[in-house]
Amino acid sequence: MTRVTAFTSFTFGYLPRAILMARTLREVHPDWRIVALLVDVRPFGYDDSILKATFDEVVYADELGIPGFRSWIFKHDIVEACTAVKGRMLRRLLDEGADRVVYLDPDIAVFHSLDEVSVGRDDVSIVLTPHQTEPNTHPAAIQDNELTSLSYGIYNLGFLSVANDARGRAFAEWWDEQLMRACYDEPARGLFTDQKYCDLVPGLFEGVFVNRDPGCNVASWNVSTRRISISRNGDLLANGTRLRFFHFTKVFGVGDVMLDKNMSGSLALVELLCWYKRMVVKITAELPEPPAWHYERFHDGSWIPKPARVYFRSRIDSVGGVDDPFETGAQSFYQWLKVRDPNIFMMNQNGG
Amino acid sequence: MDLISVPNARIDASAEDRRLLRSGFDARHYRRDYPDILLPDNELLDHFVAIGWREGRNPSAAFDTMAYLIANGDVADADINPFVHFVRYGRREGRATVPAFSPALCAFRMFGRPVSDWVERLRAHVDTVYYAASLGPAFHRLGGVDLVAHYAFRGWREGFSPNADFDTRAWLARHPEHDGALVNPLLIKIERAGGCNAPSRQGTRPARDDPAAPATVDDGWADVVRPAFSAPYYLRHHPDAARSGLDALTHYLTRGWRLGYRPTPDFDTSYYLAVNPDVAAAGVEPFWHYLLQGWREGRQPAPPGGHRRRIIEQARPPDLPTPSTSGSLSKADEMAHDALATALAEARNGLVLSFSHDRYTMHVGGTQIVLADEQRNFNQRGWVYLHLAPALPALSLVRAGNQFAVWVTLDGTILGCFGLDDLVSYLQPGSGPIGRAAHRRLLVVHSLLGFDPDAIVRLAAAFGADEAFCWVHDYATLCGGFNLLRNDIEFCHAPPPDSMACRVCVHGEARRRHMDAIARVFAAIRFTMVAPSRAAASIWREASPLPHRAMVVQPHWRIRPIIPSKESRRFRRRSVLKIAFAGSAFPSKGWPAYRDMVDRLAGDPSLRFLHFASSDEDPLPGSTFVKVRVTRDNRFAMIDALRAEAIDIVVMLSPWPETFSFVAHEAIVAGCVVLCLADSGNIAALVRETSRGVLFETEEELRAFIASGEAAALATELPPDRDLFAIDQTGTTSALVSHEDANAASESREHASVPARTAA
Repeated sequence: MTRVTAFTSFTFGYLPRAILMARTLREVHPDWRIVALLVDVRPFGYDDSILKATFDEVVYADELGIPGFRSWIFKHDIVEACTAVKGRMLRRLLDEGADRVVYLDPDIAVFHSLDEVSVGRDDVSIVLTPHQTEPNTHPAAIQDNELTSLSYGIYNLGFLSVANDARGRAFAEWWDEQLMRACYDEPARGLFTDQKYCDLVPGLFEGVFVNRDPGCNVASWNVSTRRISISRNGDLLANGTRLRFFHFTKVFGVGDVMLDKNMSGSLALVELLCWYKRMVVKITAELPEPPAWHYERFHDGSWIPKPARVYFRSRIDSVGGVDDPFETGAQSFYQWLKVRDPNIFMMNQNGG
Repeated sequence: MDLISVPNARIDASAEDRRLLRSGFDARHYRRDYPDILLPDNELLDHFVAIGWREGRNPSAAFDTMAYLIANGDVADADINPFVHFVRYGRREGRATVPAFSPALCAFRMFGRPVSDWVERLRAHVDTVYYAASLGPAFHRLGGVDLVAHYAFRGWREGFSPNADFDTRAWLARHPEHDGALVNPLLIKIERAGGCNAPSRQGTRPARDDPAAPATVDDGWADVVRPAFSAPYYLRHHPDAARSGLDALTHYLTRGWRLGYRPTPDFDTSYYLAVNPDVAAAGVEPFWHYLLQGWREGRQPAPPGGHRRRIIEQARPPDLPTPSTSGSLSKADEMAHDALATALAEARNGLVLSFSHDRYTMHVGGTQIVLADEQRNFNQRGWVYLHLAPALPALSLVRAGNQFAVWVTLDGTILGCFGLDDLVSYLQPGSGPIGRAAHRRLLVVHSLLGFDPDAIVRLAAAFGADEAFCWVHDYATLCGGFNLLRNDIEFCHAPPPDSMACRVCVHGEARRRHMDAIARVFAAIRFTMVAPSRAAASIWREASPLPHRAMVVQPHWRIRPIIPSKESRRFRRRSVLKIAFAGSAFPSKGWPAYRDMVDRLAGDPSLRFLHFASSDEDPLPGSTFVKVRVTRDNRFAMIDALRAEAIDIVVMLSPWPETFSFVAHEAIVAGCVVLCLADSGNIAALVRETSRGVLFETEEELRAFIASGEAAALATELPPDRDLFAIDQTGTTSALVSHEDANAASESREHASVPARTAA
């Protein structure tokens, strides 16, 4: 039997969603090992019993053995950080001996078996799912979907499946190197976190399977061409085929708007969305109040503006001799930046 | 003192209070729960200390301000900050606190989306002058308080009303289902009226009505909007526009859109601004933007899915009963016990033990009337009719153990509440009165809702019925969603409980437990299933794994064609087509679809819409309410009313397969044409059988049939002869039981026809 390990990467703020993802995955694949990668720090006294009961293992990002971890993570905002660690974790799980490693974003819910889509054929080492598998025709949909994919990546890395063979390990090593070096949200430079790199994968590696199953990775970026329905015998379907997993990206926020814009009045999709929100609220109520992201503030409690991180990642003169950019005392990066560019600290958390 | 409250006024809080509360106050929580407060972070504590608590706001997730004040009247009387009191004294004194729920979370549970800024949502609806006056002496302690916030978080809980048109206490009394929900009732009313379906993002909200707004608009602007604008719809829904002296379009363009008013049923102004912050930021009129540019860009004019989407978003499983929702429980006194014992001992020919979800003598509805008929029919045969209903009514099964209590009604007289153990001992053969009377015993289940299934098994075991019947008035034996409407919206065909459809349905989570409980009852009692229609029998048989002895079909009424008498006259149909919705304004009866139809079509002068029901629960502009009360003594009141108003069409928009539908029968006997949905169960079957209507796959097709004039043409082709059909009342359990008792000779076929009448 194939030993499959699945993992997901998140912070405490996304714990309710991660738990829902894990629970839905467990129902469909009770034999898979499910690992949580927490890009966060557990606060003293935080009750993590539900977290530990849900996942087979919990790994914190600072346990991955990333050199100069604090300096490295300081360079990343929350999304960048949660994606930058995926390559390292993938390598770790392959080294531990899983036959196949599957990554799922924490805001995914699984409905039907992933065996056919994650394992593929014997000659498949890497499985990717593209954002779009059918062309749109309406200009607005093309703008929202295809043109966005050209900037942010053809494949959605909310899902990834990698076999523990030479090709899979080669990919993992290559991907990890890229992410350690530059996992940033900079579309103007051709970078978008971990995702844009994978546009290169079918060209660089053999054994890549681009999975175009319409039941996979259904989300706001492709609902315009995938009609959700519920059959008489209770199956969830996308374009008439089983809905394997849905990616509820940014729901409770801009994700709702994008789904509205592209859903074509599918009431089954509304049912699905309402279910997801109900479940997230329910699980949220079961958990302790989520702590703020540990890496979002300097040691004095002030919030780290994004430009400060960009400064740190790009200005060699700023990083020399700085072991911990979170420090705020004398000789710290913080004090240095306040002198160099005090306007950076006028920015609030909403970017205003 | 200025009577108008001053939101976000500067505040002064004592240094001592600030010091005391600093560690317990959660600024992040305060900011998140109260986005209307625009003060900087370092002033939030001061705000709470001096003002926020007076407005009913909570300092953290761990402390509910209002709960503490309500529980500690001395603190409220002393007019001090309750959190200060708790920290300074209450904790030492052992006074209890309860956690606070965030407004957004409470609202999510209510509406399916986190409406987080209650103050801004309510601001346009609170008359601060009225409110300040209604507060009376309490107002003088509210210096600096935002009165809208006061009403949002506190005043409603103290029974104050926000304006002259909304009575908080009365509204809550009419809607006990919202008791305990912790959501401001005016907010519920606004959100349920569909005033805003915007996502939770704090996008730009419509500005308040600006009296300084120009009364004239640019012609080019109006020319773009005018062709798509529906003045009749706008004026129906916004009477203030009619009173303003402006024409409807001008009112909308100068004021209405700023208040979130819709220009047509298909354009949601508030939604469009919320999901398109660039339009909101530009300050342009959103409908104009949509017509000119927005539709090209694929921007949605309203949340996709229309009124059916709102049903899904508001879908909830039935609440479990609480004592506060049940009314007072009247325990059976000694006389009642004696009466029960005597009746059981003196039963001559037989004894019926029946179950349903409420006291049929107190409520009027289809099932209740069937029960009343059944009781009467059995009494006429010399049988004793003992009826049980849950002491705490609920639309779900319950688990109460030996605490379970029931209302007992004996031959139509309510005796009172009996505990389970008492009743079991009365019914136990041999040990109680029943042991002395050896006669036939029937157990009849009309509904299990509100019952503890194990209690039914105990009662049935004690009773020892010769025969047991279970009616399929609804599909509660298949699912707690007893209409089989997945998320209250679509007929689900009762798929397996482990299906994905059940996972995403609000009724699905409890379905496995529900079915296991029902299975326990069916394992203990061998029922003959009784369906009031072939349609219901078919659905039940296909979906149910429950063991049963047999399935029989026994309609409550049968429609019998009759030959019209010579005196009957045909109606001469008028130029206006009269369309009726008959029955309560429930979603399960298709009321939201009717609302939508009226919104879209009421402007057509050739159509007139009427709503026939016992109460006007949901007044609908464009539809005339006609009060009709069907009672045991006036069974045909609906038929009479439909005839009196000379109704041409009755629209039946039930989205679920109704098991029988008295209304459909009444409509046909009244001579109306019935337009219904294909998946409406016995309604569709009846229309097919009598050829007195049309079936449609969707409500959109049905509406188009009316809008196009085809309905009017059909009404002409099928003239409203009021004397084509009579009704035979045939369907209670008594008709299924053989006539071996002493009164068999006097008992004739249960038969009562609607007398033939001359047309009006």
